[in-house]
Amino acid sequence: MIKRALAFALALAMIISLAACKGSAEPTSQDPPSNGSAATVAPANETAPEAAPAEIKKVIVAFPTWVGAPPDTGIVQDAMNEILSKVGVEIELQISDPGSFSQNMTLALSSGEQIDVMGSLMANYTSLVTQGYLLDLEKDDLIGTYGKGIVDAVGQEYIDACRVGGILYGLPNNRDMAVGRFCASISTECLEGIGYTPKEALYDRVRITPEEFDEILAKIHDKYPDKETLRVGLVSYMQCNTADFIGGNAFGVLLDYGKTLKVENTFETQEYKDWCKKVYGYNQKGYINPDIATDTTDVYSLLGAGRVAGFLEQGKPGIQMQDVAGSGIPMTVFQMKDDFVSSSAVAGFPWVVPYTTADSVATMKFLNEIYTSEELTNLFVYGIEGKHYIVKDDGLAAYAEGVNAMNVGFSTISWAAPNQFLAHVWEGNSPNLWNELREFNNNAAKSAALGFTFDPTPIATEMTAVQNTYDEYQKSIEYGFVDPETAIPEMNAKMLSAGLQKIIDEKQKQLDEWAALSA
Amino acid sequence: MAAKRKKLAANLKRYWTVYVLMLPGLAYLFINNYMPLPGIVVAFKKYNAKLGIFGSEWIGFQNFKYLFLTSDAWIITRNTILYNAVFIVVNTVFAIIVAIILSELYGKMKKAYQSVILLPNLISTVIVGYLVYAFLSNGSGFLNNSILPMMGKEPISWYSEAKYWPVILVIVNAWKSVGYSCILFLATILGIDRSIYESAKISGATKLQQIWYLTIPLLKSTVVMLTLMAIGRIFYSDFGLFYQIPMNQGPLYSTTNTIDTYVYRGLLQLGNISMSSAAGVYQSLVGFVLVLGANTLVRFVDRDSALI
Repeated sequence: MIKRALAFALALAMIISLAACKGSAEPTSQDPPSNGSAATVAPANETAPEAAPAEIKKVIVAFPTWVGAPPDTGIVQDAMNEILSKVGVEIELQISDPGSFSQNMTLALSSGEQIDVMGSLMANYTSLVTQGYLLDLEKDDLIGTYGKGIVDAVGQEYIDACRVGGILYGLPNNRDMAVGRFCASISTECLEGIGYTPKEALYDRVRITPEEFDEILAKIHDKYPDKETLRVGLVSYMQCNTADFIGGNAFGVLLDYGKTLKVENTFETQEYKDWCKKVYGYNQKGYINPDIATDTTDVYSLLGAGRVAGFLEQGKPGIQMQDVAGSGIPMTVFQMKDDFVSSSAVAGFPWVVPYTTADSVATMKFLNEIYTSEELTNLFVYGIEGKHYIVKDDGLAAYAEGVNAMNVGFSTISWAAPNQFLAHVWEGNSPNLWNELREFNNNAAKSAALGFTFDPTPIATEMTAVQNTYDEYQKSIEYGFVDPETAIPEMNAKMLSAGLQKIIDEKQKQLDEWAALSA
Repeated sequence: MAAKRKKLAANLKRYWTVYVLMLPGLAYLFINNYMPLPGIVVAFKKYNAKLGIFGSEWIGFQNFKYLFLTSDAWIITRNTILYNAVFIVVNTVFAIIVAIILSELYGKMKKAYQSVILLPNLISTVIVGYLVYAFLSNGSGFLNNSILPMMGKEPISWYSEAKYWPVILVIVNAWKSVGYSCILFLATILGIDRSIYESAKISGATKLQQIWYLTIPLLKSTVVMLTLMAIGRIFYSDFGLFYQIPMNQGPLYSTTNTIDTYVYRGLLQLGNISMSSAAGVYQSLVGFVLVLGANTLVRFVDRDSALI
C-alpha cells in the first residue's frame, strides 16, 4: 500500500513539474505570431520622442566575440549604463561565441525574442534582410531624428552602401574597408637567411612585383627545404586577384577592380587560369605541404614553430603588427597588387536593428551614442581603464599590469565595433593608425558596384548546386594538386550544367536594376 | 465493441497507476513530436520573419527544387540509400555476432569487454575523424608510413581517391556503432529461457547448433523490429560520419556526399530556413513510406514479426 501511495505521489510530482514547464514555455511558443504582427506597427513610444528622460528604456545588444561572453561583461555593462543614463537608455550585452552566435540569433529572432541591436558579423547580413528580420532604419526618419551623429561618424557614402533594394537595414562600422590585394607575409628570419633586404615599407607593406616574389620563394625553398615555403588557403584566390566578388562568392565577378558593371565568369578568365598555374607550379616545386587539404592547423602557430616560412593574405595598415603579434616572430609583409574597396566590403557585417526591438527610438539613441562617444567605445572595445587596460604616456593602450591576452576580463572584436576609430590605438601600432586607415580607404580603387547588395534568393537552387561543385574541385585546383589546363574546364563545365550562367545572369540583372535606381 | 470498452475500463481501474506513470512520457511525445508538426508548412513558403511562419507567402514546391534539379541529385540519393542499406546489414550481422560471443562469456572480464566494445560509440565524431586521419594522412599517416611500405606497396593519397571511401566509411561506422546495437541483441539473448538450451544439450546439440537453431531464430523479431526502424531513417545520413570522417574533401564527394552534407554545404551561405525544412520534409516522407512498405512486406511473410 505504501509503495502504491509513493508511486502515485511520484507520478503526481512529475505531472505537476511538467505542467509547470509547459506553462512557462507557452508564452514563447505563442509569441511569434502576435509579436510578428505588432512589429509592423510602429512602437507607441515613437510618437512621443521627448518623453521624460527619467524613464529608462532597456536595449538588448547582441554580438559575437571569439570566446563568447567575457567574465567581466557585467562590470563593463554597468559602466556603460552609467554613461548611457543621460539619454535614458540601459543596455544589456548578450555576447556569444562565433560558433553559436548565428544559431542563437536565428532562434531568438524566429521566436520573437527581444533583441534591439545586433552586430551582424557571422550572421550573414543579406540573409537577415531577405528573411525579413530587420527594421528599416529610415522609417519615420528614425536615423535623421536620433542618429545624426552616426552619419557624421561614418559618412553618408558608406551608409548608402548598406542599402538593400534602396532600403537602409544596417549601419556600417568604421574599419578598413579597402584591402591590399595579393599580399604575402614572410618570416623576416628566412629573408635574412637568403640575404634579402626588403625595400622601405609603406604603411606596413613592401611593394614588389610577382616575379620578385617568385624569386624570393625559390631562394627560401633552396635554403630551407624542410619548411613549407608558402601556405595557401581557401580564400587565397579571392585575396590575390583583381576581381570584385559580387555578393561575396566567386560565381560571377566584375573584373579589373570592378571598373565596369559587366558580370563575368571567373573560371573562364585568364587571371584565374594564371593563378592556378602559378600555384600548380609552386606545388610541383614542393613549396606546398602535401597534407594542406586536410591540415587545419592555424598558420600563426606553424610560423611560430618554424614549420612554415610564409603565407598569403590581404593587407592593410597595421597588418605587420597583426602578423607579428599572432605568430610571435618578426614578419615582413609584401604586396603585389593594388588596394581595393569591393562592392560587398562596406556592407559585410553592419550593425542592425531586428524587428523584435522593443523600442526603436531608444535603440537608435544608444547607437548614436556608441558611434560618437570615445568613452563608450573604449569601454566597449577594451573594458575598464586601469582594470583591463591602461593608456600609456604616448597615448597608446596596453594591457593593465598582470593582465594578458589569455586572462583579460573583457575584450571584444575591436574591428567589428561600431566606431573603432574613437578607441585608443593598441601598443605596437602606429599612433596614427586610424588616420592611416582612413587614408587607405579613401585612396583605394573603388568598385563601380560599391554599395550593391546581391540577393541570392531567386537563384537559391543554383547556388546550392554550384557551391557543391566548387567545394568538390576548389582545393585540388587552387592548392595546385591537379593540372589547371584540364581541371578548370572540367569544373567549369560541371558548374555551367549546375546553373552557373543563371547566377551570373541574375547578378547582372540585379546590378542593372541597382544602377538604374541609383542613377 | 461494448466488451472491448468494458475491458478497457477494467484495465484502467486495475492498472491506473501504470497509466498515470505513462502520462509524462505521452506529454513529452506530444509537446516534442506533435506540437511542432504544423510548422511543416514553412517548407512550402517563402519564409519572412515579420510575417511569421503562417503569414508567409505560399510558393508551392519551389523550396524542394534544389534537391532534384541538379546533376548531384542522383549521386546524393544513391549514396544515402546504399550506405544506409549496407550499414543496416553489416551492423546487424556484426552486432549479432558480438552479442552471441558476449553472451557465451562468463566471469569478471565480461564487463570489461562490454565496455571496451561500447567505447567507440561514446567518442565524438570529430575525434574519430582525427583517429582515422592518423591512419590515412599523406605525410604522417600510419598506413602510408608503416603498413604499406612493410608490404612493399606505394603510399596512397587516401583523401583524394574516392574509390576507397565506401569501404573506409563502412568499417568506421561498424566500429563505432556495433557496440551500441549489440546491447539490444544481448538483452534479448539473456532473456531467452535457459531451459531450452539445456534440453537441446541433452538432445546432443553442439554449441554451434544451439546458436544456429535456437539463438538466431529467437532473435528474429528483434532483428525485424530494429531493421524496420532503421529503414525509417534510410533517407537520413549520419552527418558527422559523412562530413567529419572524410574531412570535407572535395575529391571524395562522388562517394561521400549524402543528402545531409549536400544540404549543409549548399545552405551554409544562403541560410534559408524554408529550403532546409524542405529537405527534412522530403526525408521524413520517404522514410515514412518506406517503413510502411517494409512493414507490409514483413506482415505478408510473417505476421507475428510485423510492428503494426
